[in-house]
Amino acid sequence: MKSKQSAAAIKISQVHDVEPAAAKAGKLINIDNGGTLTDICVIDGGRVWRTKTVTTPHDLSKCLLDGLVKASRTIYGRDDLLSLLLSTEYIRYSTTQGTNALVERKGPRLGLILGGTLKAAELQGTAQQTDLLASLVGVRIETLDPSLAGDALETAAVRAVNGLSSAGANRIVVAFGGSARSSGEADLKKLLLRKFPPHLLGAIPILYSHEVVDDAEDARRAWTAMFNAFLHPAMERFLYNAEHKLRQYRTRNPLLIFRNDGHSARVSRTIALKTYSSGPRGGAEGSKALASHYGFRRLLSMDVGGTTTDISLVEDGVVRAHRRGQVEGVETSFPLCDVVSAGVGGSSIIRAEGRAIRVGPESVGGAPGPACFGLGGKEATMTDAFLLGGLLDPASYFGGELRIDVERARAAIGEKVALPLGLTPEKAAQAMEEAWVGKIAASLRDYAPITPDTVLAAFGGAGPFVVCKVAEALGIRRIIIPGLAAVFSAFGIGFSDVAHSFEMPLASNDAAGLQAASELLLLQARRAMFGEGAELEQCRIEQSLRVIDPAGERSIALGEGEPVIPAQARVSLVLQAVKPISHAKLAGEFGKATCGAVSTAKRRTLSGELPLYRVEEQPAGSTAAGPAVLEEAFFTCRIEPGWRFEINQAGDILLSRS
Amino acid sequence: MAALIERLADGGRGLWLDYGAYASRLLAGGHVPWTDADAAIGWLRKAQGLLGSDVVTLPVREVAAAWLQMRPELSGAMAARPRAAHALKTLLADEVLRAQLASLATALRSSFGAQALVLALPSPCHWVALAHGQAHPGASVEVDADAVDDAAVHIADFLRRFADCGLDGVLLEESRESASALAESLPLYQPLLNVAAHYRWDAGLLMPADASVAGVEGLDFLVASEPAAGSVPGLRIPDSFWQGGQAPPRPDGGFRYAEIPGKAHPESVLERLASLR
Repeated sequence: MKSKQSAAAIKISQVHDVEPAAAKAGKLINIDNGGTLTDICVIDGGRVWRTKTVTTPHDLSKCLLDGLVKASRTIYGRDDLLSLLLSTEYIRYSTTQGTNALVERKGPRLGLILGGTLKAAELQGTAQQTDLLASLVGVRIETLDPSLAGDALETAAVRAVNGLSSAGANRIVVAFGGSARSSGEADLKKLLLRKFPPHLLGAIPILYSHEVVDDAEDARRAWTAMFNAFLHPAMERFLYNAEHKLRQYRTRNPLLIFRNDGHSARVSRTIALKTYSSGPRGGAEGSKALASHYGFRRLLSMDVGGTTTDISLVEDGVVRAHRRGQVEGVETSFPLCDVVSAGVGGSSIIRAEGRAIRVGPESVGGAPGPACFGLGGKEATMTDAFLLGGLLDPASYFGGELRIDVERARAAIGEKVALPLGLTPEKAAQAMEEAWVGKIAASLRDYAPITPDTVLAAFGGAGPFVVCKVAEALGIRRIIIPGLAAVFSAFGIGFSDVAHSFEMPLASNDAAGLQAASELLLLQARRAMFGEGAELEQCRIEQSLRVIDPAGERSIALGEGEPVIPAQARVSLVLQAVKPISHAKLAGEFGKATCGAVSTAKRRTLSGELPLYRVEEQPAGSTAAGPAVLEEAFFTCRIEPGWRFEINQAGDILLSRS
Repeated sequence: MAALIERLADGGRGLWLDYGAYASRLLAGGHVPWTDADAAIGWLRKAQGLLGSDVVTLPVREVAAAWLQMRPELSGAMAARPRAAHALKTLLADEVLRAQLASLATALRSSFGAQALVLALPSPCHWVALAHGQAHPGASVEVDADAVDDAAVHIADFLRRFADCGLDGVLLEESRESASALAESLPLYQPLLNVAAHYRWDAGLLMPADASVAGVEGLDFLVASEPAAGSVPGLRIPDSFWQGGQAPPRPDGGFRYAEIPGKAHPESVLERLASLR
């Protein structure tokens, strides 16, 4: 008996056959906590269930538990959180709390103590930095005179902390500049621990920047520490709350937090800043898994939503990332995946501008939305053009749940595009499509060069619509629409392993220095992985050298044989310990189509009456050629002449140009 | 957190919109899913995103009506005794309804940080008759001072359930009948006005269009077609506004209140709203 599901939960319970597992280790639960909705993906060997729940920003642990209860309802037909959790091996959790907190500037009042060569002016090189410093720190900055030592330093340091405290700081960040940065900060730490014992009620938490990350660029490291301090209390509160609630159910393993570097770890071993922007990383990890499974060397992903198209790339098994990722426009020491948001989407406002057509970047948003939604919107959007063009059928749009009105679409397109350009509304709709495709293609091309082996992945509600046209504009010959496109982020985080990374500069640029650093880092790794419940021997160890010299920054992998360590450069050893844990497996192959796809209806479009193929009605391994319309609950796709589609047993769809 | 009046006075348009009927038709096919908290919040978010009222209202009467439909045993319990206030007392004591309302209020508070959050409920005089009518369809009831007094006490007790929900105000809705009896019944509302004051919620009345406000006093605010001395004025925008008529200017130190007609045309609604900015 199907249990009643709320409108916020997905109406169609998606069950995908992934791969039958030989041994049932336990369920895997992935939770992608977005701004408005939280997506939950439960994987049990060959089956995948998903559910959505509304995010509860005032207490994120509430929607976590609510979502899990809902998931249990989908699986067992009744609320049974206990059974679900007892049968679960790992829960991976990705949250936007950090991202939101920074955007909304909701966090502690930070105080800053600068020392060594670092001065406040160096932290305000750009407009964004100045703005952020004012919001997060304001006037609460104390600078210690680098010439002070002994008692004089002690007096100045105590005065600084007291000054920041009276100015209202509830968290302090210490950042020293220059070659004595780490020792300077370490000495100050000893001093302040003596003078302000942390067990006292009035003690303010102090974060030392060299403990957050090893980065010789002092201003950048200081910013990294400040961001982390800002995010820390809210993340700490929420994550411990969530973990505490779960512990009551005797979960097998502690909650794992998914990080923006693509790996996961326990709450207690996670740095708050590394949860920032973990959502897009989840999608990128999903793309990486797809690319690896299907052997795509270069997979370019476009996630076309209402307002923006998010673009990312996986090449040779690596997610394209910025070595020094930007947070709110400020460079930090940690890497972040390189996702570009172009101002074009399904709800972008499209208007005539002179003799041309302008697409976005403004959009009509969720409300009133496109004119065809009939909520009072009067702007023309691509959704209106697709409706007028016959690609969308009101009866099947969102399963018939969202009523769309073609006459309103015609009126809006008429007024905003057709009339000014002297076209019929239908011709205007076609011109709008060309302009929209052009903008998306240009954004993709700006992001990455298109090579002959580039494959395009299309996600998001508006991704698949006219993706063949986008590919044609770029000379791309293959497109993949993953079966789990609608939950890609939640699915993607499920491929992460538990991992921790450590870095240390070499004391000397030679084999002895490397050996010493390696031993120290292995010890740190052993401790960290013990905290994760793993012996170091169970982990995969990856070591590399980070080399910084006047030419820039580069990485040298350490494998067999003696590495060549440059004598005149700043060299650090980077060690990553990875404990592989159970994750979902992808199945399905392409090129093994066994039958023709079945069309049971037609769709009347401006390109003529085209055969309509409903994805749910097709057997696995079916294929057909365009021109056609391919449709399922979450997307509609126009297959152009010269293209063919293939749906494999995993539900993934490959479009290829003959 | 500032109470209702402060939030409304604090810049913005000072516009309180009642979009229940309009948004129900436009966005929920005429049936807001009040018994499903997530779906209900989703609906309200959409409506608020589309129409942008400065006050988010939780309409207790509608929520209670939806629950009554699902729970005939509650209606049965309400009809168990003939005393005028019995039906209301039973309804308000129902723990499931209270829990649902409290959870809706909490979710609304966290969803709408910038807007004022108000609990709207029928006034004691109005609600006695309403609840009695739900329990005994077709029967009429005599609402005397005792009944209003009882009702006020029960409502006061009911309101305590919302202590931690982050409300900014309470709006008591009068019907035409109850508005005409206001001179006698208003003093009997004191118990619930005390609770509101204790929790620092602004308390006010919603008068029907063009009802007289003579003698209405002792409230933090009053929503009516004309201002009354002693209360912050919430001026009702007349229905004719939606067909192109004029809206009165915002009163000094007060705000404006408008009910969007259920059958209004979406394009003109947005245009009319834009003209109020």
